[in-house]
Amino acid sequence: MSIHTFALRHRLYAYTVNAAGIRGGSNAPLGELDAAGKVPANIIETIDALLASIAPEGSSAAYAVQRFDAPGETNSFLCLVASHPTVDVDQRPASLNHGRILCIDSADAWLDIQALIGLAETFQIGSLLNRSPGEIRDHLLDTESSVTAGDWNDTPLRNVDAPLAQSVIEACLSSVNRRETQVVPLPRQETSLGALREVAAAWCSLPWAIQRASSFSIGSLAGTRVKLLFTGPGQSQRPAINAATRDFAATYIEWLLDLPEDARALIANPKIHDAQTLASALQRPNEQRVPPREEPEMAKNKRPAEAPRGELNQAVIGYINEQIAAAEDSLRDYVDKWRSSSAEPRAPRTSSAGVSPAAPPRRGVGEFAMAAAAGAIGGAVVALLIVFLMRPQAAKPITKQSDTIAQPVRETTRDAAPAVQPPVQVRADALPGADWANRFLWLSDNAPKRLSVVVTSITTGDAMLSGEMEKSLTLIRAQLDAGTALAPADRKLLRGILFQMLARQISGRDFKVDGKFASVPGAAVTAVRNELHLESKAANSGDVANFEAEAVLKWAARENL
Amino acid sequence: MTYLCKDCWMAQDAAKLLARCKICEVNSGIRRLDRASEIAARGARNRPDPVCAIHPHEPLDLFCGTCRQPLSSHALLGERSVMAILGGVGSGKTSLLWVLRDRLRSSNGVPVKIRQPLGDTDQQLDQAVADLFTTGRARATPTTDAVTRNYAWELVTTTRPRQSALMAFHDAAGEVWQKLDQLPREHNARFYRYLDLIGGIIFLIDGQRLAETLAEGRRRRAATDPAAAQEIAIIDALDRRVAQGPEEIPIAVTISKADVLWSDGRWSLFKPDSGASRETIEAAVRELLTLTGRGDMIEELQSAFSRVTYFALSAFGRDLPAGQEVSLDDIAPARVEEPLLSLIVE
Repeated sequence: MSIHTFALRHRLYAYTVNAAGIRGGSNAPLGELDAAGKVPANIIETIDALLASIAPEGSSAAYAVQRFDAPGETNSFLCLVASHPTVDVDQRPASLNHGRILCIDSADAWLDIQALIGLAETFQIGSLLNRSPGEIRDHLLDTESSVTAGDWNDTPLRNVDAPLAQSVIEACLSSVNRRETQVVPLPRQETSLGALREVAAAWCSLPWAIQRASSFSIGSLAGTRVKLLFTGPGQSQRPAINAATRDFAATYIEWLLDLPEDARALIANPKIHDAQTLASALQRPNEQRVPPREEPEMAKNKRPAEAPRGELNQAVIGYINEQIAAAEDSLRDYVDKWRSSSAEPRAPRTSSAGVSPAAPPRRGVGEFAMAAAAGAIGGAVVALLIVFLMRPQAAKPITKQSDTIAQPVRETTRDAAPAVQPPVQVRADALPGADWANRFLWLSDNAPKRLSVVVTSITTGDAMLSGEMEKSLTLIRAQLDAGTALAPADRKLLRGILFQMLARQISGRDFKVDGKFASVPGAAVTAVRNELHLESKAANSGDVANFEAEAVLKWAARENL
Repeated sequence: MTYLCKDCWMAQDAAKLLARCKICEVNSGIRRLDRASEIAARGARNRPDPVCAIHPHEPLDLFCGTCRQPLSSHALLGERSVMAILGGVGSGKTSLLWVLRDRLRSSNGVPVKIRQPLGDTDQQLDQAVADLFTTGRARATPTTDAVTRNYAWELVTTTRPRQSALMAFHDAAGEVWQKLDQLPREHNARFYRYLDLIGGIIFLIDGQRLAETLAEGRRRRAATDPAAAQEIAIIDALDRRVAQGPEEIPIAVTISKADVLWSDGRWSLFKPDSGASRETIEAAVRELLTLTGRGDMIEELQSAFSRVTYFALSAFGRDLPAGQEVSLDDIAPARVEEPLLSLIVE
């Protein structure tokens, strides 16, 4: 685990009488530690709104956590708000709301939050709550101008009770695309700070883009400007979470604890922004584990790393092309030299009248030496080429399964001759085939595992399937996972189901998924057409296959599947 | 009857959009939906729900079922159903609402009473005043969007023939009113919607602050009194923000915590048993406001609002020492219902 030290900025919202003589809650200036002017204005605005809205629901402090990223920059910000109960100038119960903003001036946005929580804990122990904003500013200047934080690690998560971790992961995953605040009751906790540590440990174990979309508070009153308001038990109804999300959350937690090294890379991946992309990423854990390739292993005189065959990245392809060009040049040189060295007048042919044909000219020792050297060079070049073509290649840092190398070569032949694999993956919307239906057919016949990835990605939503339909889909997926091409009836059913699920997701409409195009409401069809810019028509039943296939393949292409 | 939010209404067929705009209502002879008698006549099950049936947190956008034009929510709620209770920080808004609810729960000699609280009104209000019982002070209201502290009652007249009406309040923090001029709309969508619906205003002025000014023994000009300057700023901002236009809205200017003034002979008529007429009290309130540097504010109010009335009330009827437990038996509310009645009855 690496350690980083970053600048810490602050915002303080206190119920006092401000410089203009106005009573009430307002931001107290904190001088050089004040986040104003050092953090983008839109982020400050959001933090200020959060500070003004939060209040503890009881006698313990309340907390809120929110991540931000700076528009167009690699910078990101992690904000922890602590709302400490106090009284205002009129002796009313009020709060001192303190925002700590960790300014991460690199792409290390996945930093753990536990260090910030430690600062909040020390602050409230240090009887600073009844001090004036000026005294608090001086204290912060002495003690909290920077913070040392580590990368995410699995230890805090291992200490969290399983039901609590499950509740947090479920709630975060289901709230990503919601706008309104959701109240989530938690199992009973000793203190709000203890609850914060546990909730934050689970929250921090999600990919950071999901963290960014799941601001939360602990022990605060309704109205706090966060997406998730975690409360004590019995204070609200547990929100409805569908079975798929529940199961997925449990699987994800198991995976985190089994493979923490892989989890770290996944948490840092900014492309994982919701449950769907997270589920897709989990389908490809092996690729996640392979480190990014830096330079050809041979150039570093190292033994090539083990990697799936048949995957060549663009750098390797370029390097091979250079080697081929160099080999061609070398061979041309050799031939030229050989020609020039043997350019002596040939003996005239003898007549058939008893004259024996002229013997080939004898070469001297020097000529033999030159030919041998040139041959050795040529042989070495060819050997080099063979070694390069045969050596296992490192995969891209995040890529697809080996069967996703989509070329018009059947999988059965690829394994036998990986050296001749076409190295570039064809986009899903550019697969071979006269029309979209045939491209879908090609995918099913030639890359069933790749189609399985597409199916997984589309079906991780909460689409309601009948028992029969779910059973059919399970069987189809099992075939695809086994690398088996689908029978025509199954292929048609799968295409219909995938289209319907896309239509549900894109249009937000709720309708039965039965694999039939006719069951899709017209508005949902229009939504899919507009969203994916479909060109096919669905005017009659003959066109439907094309239309459905285009939607699925264009969506897969958009998701880089 | 189904009402839908902006995201949902387009997905529905026109038959579900049953509200009518004023023109269609006249043409079709359909009576307005805000008639108290009509609302009361409906069973609870048929009473329109002013939130989306699919998204319970989403306020409604209504569209005319005939001409499809956007429809004012007043068509559903009534012109005077939504009240703004506003004032500076600590002026007693939350305490007034709590005491008002208690006073209106039974007849108490008042011409209206609460027939039923709507939704989770009681739970929200109880939570807002929970600290009052243990500390003698209501908690400072956090600055939120209007997603919480929303209270609605169905009021019914205590005399026959019974009439009923909906009444809704949002208890916004004093800071919200103070910063009304700079409140970003994108972060306060529901609060702005609330402003759009306002049909009457109770404007609280903290009697404690007035008493302090009087005690200083000199007439303070508004420009040097932060509280007075703040009150004028609130009126100014309200003038710009209220959709209906202040010239169409009545306002009840109300001095809160009036018990702190009762000991002064000039203001003893604010006591509940003083026998003073409404006009006499109004004149005394205006005089007090003028004496405390709020003459300009009175002029501003008179010119901006359709009707301005003046009141003085005390939610607790006595000073509650901070840190002391309070119960309903310990307090003696004075004149708390007068501003509300003036707005809904007159």
